[in-house]
Amino acid sequence: MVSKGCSQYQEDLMDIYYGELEWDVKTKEHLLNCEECNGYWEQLMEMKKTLEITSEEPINYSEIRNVMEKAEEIQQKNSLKDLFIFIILASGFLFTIASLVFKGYGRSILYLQGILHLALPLSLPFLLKRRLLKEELDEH
Amino acid sequence: MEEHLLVKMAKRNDKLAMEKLLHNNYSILKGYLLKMTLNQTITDDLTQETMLKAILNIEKYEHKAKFSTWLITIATNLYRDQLRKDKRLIYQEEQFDFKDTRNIEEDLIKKVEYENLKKVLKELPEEKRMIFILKHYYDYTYQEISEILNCPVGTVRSRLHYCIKEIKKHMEGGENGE
Repeated sequence: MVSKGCSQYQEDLMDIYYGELEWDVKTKEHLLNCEECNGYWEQLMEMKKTLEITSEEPINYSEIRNVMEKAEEIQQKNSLKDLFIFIILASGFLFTIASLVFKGYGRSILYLQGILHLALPLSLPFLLKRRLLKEELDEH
Repeated sequence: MEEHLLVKMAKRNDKLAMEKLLHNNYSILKGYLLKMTLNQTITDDLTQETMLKAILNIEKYEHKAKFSTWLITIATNLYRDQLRKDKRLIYQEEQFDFKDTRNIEEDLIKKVEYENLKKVLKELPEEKRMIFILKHYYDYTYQEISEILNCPVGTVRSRLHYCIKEIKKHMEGGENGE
């Protein structure tokens, strides 16, 4: 049965083994005097050899190329889908405007358009500043 | 070329940069998945799915961690999804069949290494195995693993300790060993 003290030391030894903790005098002393923890440390070292993988996965260039092509197909399909949605939405919008003009709201629509044309450029500096900030963050 | 420059170019739809990023990180991704799934077929499928998802979502990648870490996060989530959909994946047995290696000797070493690894790792539950692989083979910090797997650092540490105890038992030829 492992005592509570040893269990704690063994967790610390695991942290040291994996570079999450630095050696301290107490742990070093305990390791020298405790057979159980010394065995645990040796088994950590042994584990390294037992589970060693020396071979590296070779790069499958054709697999990567196939995935790139598949991604391109999906992106093209998505662009077509986006274009179709845009055409539907734009048609709906134009139809609504035409209906409103037909009902006699033409003058109000013109005023609204004028206000928007004047107000939108004012928001441009804020949008540009936001984009520059994002690019700076990406670079860092 | 440095990774952050390749990422920047890939985000601007530079296909060569994207391909280079995948070349540079392919071995890490496939190695991780092979250790994780212990199954060649599932590894091949997940490698392709991960790369596809990475290409389609490159815009969302923030260069806070390495590109390989991002790929591993995607791969882990895809594997978790597969496990949720099909629990039988855990119990699938398969002989490793390496077709891409350059010579017979290398092929043999690889087979022996992975069969040996399989004996030990198949005893560990999936979520705990992920932690062990990320720490033991890829040297991620507890903090990085907690971010990849979306779990607290304390859980990472306790699960890793559990894995080591299980592997120790196996090495001693205990109840989980042979």
